Amino acid sequence: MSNDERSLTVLIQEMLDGVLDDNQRADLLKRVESNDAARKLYLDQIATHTALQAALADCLPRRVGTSKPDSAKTRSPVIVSSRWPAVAAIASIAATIMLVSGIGYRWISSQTPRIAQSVATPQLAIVTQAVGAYDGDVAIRAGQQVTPGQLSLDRGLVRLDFINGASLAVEGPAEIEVVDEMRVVLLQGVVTARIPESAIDFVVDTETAHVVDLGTAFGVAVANDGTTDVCVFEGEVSVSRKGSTSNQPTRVREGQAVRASEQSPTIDSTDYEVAPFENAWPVNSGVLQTTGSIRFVSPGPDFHPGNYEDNEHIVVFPELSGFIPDEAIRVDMVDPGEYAKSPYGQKPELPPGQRLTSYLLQLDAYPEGKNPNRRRGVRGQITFANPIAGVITMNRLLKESETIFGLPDVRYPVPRTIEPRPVGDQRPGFDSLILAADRRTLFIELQENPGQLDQVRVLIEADQ
Amino acid sequence: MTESETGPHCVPSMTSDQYILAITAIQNRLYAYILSLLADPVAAQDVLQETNLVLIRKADDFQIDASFESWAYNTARFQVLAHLRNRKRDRLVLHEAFAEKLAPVAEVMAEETQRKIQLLGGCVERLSDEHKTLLQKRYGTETSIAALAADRGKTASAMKQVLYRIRHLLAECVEKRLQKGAAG
Repeated sequence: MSNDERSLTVLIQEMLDGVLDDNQRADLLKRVESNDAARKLYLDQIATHTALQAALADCLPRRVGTSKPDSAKTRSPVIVSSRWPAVAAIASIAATIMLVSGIGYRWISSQTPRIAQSVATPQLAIVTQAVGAYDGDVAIRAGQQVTPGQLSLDRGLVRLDFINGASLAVEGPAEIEVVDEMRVVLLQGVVTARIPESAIDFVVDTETAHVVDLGTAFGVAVANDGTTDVCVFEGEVSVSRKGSTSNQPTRVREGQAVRASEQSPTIDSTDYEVAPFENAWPVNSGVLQTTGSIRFVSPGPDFHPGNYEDNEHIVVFPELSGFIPDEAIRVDMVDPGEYAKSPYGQKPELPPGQRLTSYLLQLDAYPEGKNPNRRRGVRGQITFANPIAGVITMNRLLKESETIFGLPDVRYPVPRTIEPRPVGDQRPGFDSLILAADRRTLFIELQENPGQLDQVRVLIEADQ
Repeated sequence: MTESETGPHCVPSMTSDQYILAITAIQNRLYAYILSLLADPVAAQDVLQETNLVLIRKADDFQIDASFESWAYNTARFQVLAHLRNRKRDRLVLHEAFAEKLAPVAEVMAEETQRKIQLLGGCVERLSDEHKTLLQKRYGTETSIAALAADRGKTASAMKQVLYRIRHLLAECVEKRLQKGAAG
């Protein structure tokens, strides 16, 4: 290989690594443009690189660096973004295509993750979601069985649904031992848990704390030094200091947090800091992924549509879960496609008796900063774990459904109907709401209108 | 805000399922195409997302008897040019000309990407376990070269050389299989 070719190869690889500055990029483009051989090398390397990425990334997303929003009123970055944003939106279809076309390497999939052990051992839980989840080099996939033993999660997120109904989201890097259907030991990492009545008394042990659920949703984070933080999002838990016989268990209620560490013999109150749980929590809440400017609300009792201000994001609030309405629910959309306005009388209806979970998506564009009247598009996509039964955005339907699915004791702000582009209108500045063919993904683009509030309620088919 | 009387309109031109499937199937090729025109992987991801939104929004404009690939590449090309224009920097005027000129051959390259993905499976099988692991870390989990090098007690430069050799082996293997396919 000539020196020229070698230096060009280095330049191309640095481009692919995303480390070129503008001057280096200009140099690269100049060389590619002026020389046929350079152009061929450039295109060949991009094709090979893309092919390798596509195959080896296993079509699963990674977390990308997301900067903290500028606004002081916002609280945290977007939860999980995708390496292949649009593929994530239609991930199930993409996965099918990967299988059909034989893409993906047998040497990866043929290895047995530690998570799935002997078939003779009892199955305690199943991996119902896996997002960029790896144990070493081995991808952890949805559908794998969890048997007693230790699970190492180097990166990514998994959701474990136990046979008793308990649901744990584990964020890597984490080491967790699944002891039985009522107990796990978190050695390191972050878990969030949603525990139904059927699994009350579920235990999360750590090196320093013994956490017993009392019917609730909570998060546990274990640092490298064994320090354990417990945050209660709903209900209450009981926390004891490990290795101390003198301490009575501490009751920790929703909106409260405690810490257990080697430095203290007791369970100590601490600030209610939910940032460590903001990646895992949406997975417990039925949201597979969000990308772009959509973010899941911080976990906790005090964050709801009536008091949560975020000028930068479309925020997702979970509402009633697994609720069976006894009346028909009128909605704006049930079929894949783009939302267009229609008269109230022509709206489709969801029949009564269907178990549904509701989420409210809200963009609160309050006037702020040097340009309080700015208008710009805020967009993103959200993929739910279960199919979308209906989408509601018309004011009247929002108010009707709010009485059924809205959070009790929350005063909802008055929304503004989103404004889709009329057929044939080419002007910029309209809202867009698209239900993808996988029926789990919504593409949303909303135009900020300072002082106004956009809302979309999404009803999801709940598990029976 | 009034509720207008316009009737609903849906995404499909083929059918919404077929159209979304077509968008899904072309993702890797579109990314390779956009990346080659922009020479910037971060910007390429943004433009890919823009392109997907435009493709979905303009589904009604797609003529079913036209080539979906041409439609998608053309849409991506416009998004690339719009991206470059929006940045409004002098140097990018040259970049715009570059993108316009490269677009036709980039399309050919992008179409080859899909075939390469399929052939790579068999080629990777032939690598040593160590090289497979290295590739998985580099491309599957996108571990940086610096981190890979540190992990294995090598310099970044040496690690680049190892990766270069693996890619070269794979490129040769894919090329042979392409030729074999063409001959067969």
